[in-house]
Amino acid sequence: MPLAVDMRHIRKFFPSSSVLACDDVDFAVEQGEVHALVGENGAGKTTLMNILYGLVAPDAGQIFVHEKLSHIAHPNDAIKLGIGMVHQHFKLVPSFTIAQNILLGIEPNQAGFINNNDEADIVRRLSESFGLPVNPNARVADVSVGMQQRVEILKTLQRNAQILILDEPTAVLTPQEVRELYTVIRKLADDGRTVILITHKLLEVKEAADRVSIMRRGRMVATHSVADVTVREMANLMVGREVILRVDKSPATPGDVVLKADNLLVAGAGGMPAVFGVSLEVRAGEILGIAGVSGNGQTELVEAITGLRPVEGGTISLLGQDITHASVRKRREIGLAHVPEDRMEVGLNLKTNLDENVVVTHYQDDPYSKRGILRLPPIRKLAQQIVDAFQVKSARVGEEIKTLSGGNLQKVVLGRELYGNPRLLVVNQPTRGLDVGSIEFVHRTLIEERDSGAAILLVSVELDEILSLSDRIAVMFRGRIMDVLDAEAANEQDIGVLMAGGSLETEPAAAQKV
Amino acid sequence: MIEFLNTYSRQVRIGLMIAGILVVLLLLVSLPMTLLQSSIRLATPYVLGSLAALLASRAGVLNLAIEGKMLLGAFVAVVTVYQPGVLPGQGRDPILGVLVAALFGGGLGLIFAVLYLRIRINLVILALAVNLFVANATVFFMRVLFGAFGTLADPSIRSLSTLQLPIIHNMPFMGPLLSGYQIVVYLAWVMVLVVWVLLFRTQFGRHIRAVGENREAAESVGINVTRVQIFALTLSGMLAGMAGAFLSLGVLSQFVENMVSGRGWTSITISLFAFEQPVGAFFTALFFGLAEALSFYLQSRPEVNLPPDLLLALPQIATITALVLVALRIRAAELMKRRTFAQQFGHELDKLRRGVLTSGQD
Ligand SMILES: Nc1ncnc2c1ncn2[C@@H]1O[C@H](COP(=O)(O)OP(=O)(O)O)[C@@H](O)[C@H]1O
Ligand SMILES: [Mg+2]
Repeated sequence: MPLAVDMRHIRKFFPSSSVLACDDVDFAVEQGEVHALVGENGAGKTTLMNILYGLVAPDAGQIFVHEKLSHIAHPNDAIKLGIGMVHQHFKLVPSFTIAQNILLGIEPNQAGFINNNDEADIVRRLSESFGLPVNPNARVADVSVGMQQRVEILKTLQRNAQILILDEPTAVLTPQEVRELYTVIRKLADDGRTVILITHKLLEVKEAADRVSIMRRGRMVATHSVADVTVREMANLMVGREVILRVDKSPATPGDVVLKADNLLVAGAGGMPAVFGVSLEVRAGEILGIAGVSGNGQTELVEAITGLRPVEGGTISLLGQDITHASVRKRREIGLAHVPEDRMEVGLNLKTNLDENVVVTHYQDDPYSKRGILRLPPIRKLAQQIVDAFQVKSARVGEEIKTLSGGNLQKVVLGRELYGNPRLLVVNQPTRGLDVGSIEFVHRTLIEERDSGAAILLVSVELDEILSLSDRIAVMFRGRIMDVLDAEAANEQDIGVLMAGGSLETEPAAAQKV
Repeated sequence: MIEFLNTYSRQVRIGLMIAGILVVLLLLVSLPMTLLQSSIRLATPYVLGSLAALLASRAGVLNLAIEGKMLLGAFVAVVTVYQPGVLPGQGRDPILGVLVAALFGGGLGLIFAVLYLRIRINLVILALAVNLFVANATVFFMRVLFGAFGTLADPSIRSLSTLQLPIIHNMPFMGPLLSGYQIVVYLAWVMVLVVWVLLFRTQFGRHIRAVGENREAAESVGINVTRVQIFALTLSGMLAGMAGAFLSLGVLSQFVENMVSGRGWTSITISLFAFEQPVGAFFTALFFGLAEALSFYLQSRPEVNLPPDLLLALPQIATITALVLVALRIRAAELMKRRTFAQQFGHELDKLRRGVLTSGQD
């Protein structure tokens, strides 16, 4: 088979984060195949594909498209070469209709004037010819995530893409939608199109791809035919050593109820409920894990509990005190700590130094400030303590933290949040994008914290993480908790059914209904 | 109160609309014609200025330099037609001044765009610098070039000529209300339409709005974001320049130090208040014209016994009121949305719970 894409010796260094995202990467894709590109978060997959699509300029390397040396300096060049990309974060204009988004930049026009009806007709024909139904006149802001993704795919097809790049397309989809997507991908490949599928879910690779390339920390480590490689082997290549999935822990000894949420109602984007009638309890000395496909209300639930998003109905109490509408400060005073999903934007302030980042939750307390004036020596001592206790490598008191790696940044957040022994620790995706060593450190820290009596609410889309850390597991689907299982008795299959909206008693019928 | 608004929100909205139309009609018949005419005239800088503001902001660049661009327009317009020694009424056609002002405004807009987009100077700081620079540069050049202090005037400077609209001119009421204004007044009305068509009916306008709403979406389909923003800022500058030229040549026939006195900032308020809709901005601008006209009108009436300072402040009071209304409107809309949400879905949740209980599951 001729090569559709052949990237050679690609190198990209990001000075702003001092990351070598692509380190002499070779990547070849045959025409008409579905080629999976896998790797942990931060491995450089998106960067490599952004280079192919002309969004990022490589420092070195050559790109051959259909075996011709090509210079791709701008997405326009890529589009002209028949390359289309569906980005991890959709690039749509919310107030525009589906038709307007699909035709953005290539609007049919007469002397610059456009006609909405023509546009709807074109999109209708397009969607019929590929069997991907859409309503051309619906506003993108009003349609589901799955539909938005379909719009993105149609956008590339309208531009006659022969090479399609899909960046983590399944992260936001329900299992049902994932299956539909695979059917579409297979059909496109059967038509002679080439599909590059970025993912870090290895089971999906087995199911959907012909060949697989594996990246690790900026390097391309292997390319295999999917038939010749097991999930286990792929996992080892991805992380660079045997993966340890089990964490040593003793059985939990749950104490009193620390967090209690009752019938919570929380709004999401677009005016629909993101959390719809959630009730849960977390006790001292236990970890309640929340499993679910990303985008099923987990983030909104965490934000409601931590005070970052208003609650529209129901109640939350912490150690018996009603905190449904309490300020973040009040919640923290009672004993809440929060390790947010996004450590770069929410968890830390990368524009300032280590000291300010660690003292920000305690700066009003005694030794750190007196009569409104910050006192540096105790703050520095605190920073040093956290650096030592959490082994934050290459972090120095008084210095910037923006050059630290993801793992070290997360240690700073953990160190700060665990200081002062919180009664409730809410953690959301605590190991996303971390290297294996840091993951183990975070996991061990969470277990230690549990054993010393804290209540922990753990939200993660990584099922392995949930299974290995939790004492009880709640599964969320479309804003509801489908069921709460005992971790001892839980298995991946059952949780999978619940994550898809099924129920364990009437499994086959319910799973089909969704 | 909120419950009432919730249940009858449609009726309330229609009621408000009818009330609005009634108020406008009432104003039209009850206010003296001269006051209405000067309102329409004085609204012109606001119409052009708010179009300038909304165009830039639709393209995703907050244009805080409108004040400076208006002042530049006012100055160069007067300089263009300033010909000492020429007989009164024989000088250059003031429309030439308006064109030159539009060119300079556009030019400044272009420089502004290049400094911001190519050299990446902070937008707010850049705008403040432009405003300060123009304010001082006009004073400086007035002294150096013309030896004038505070005011640049000359008998050779003619005011903009007026235009009688055919047919409408002879209609009762409509004639005096709509006909007989200076050319730039009509130009401003035409620009409202032009900007609306541009934004909502052309391909380029679609790209402007896409860039303003989600820049990355526009970039990823190959729209040249920089070009779109440069164009929007240039056109925005031209509109602001024309607005300034109308102030100096349409209203006073002279240039006075700092004569824009906040109208550029007010224009930004108007654009916000009208949710960046050209037609909405037009009507909002008319209200500001009315406020300004009213302050002049009341000052000229000896029987009105209000402190003159207060009257002078009428347009500013209107601005602050508008800003408060913008904020209140956004807050009220948010509150309303949360209320409806809680009611609707709280109700559904209750139903769901009861359903579960009665069907005997636990
Ligand atoms: N625009 C950027 N500026 C600085 N660093 C970046 C940028 N884009 C990506 N990186 C860094 O490059 C690395 C690879 O990122 P990415 O390609 O997004 O990984 P992946 O898609 O495999 O998760 C990460 O460490 C990330 O922080
Ligand atoms: Mg990525």
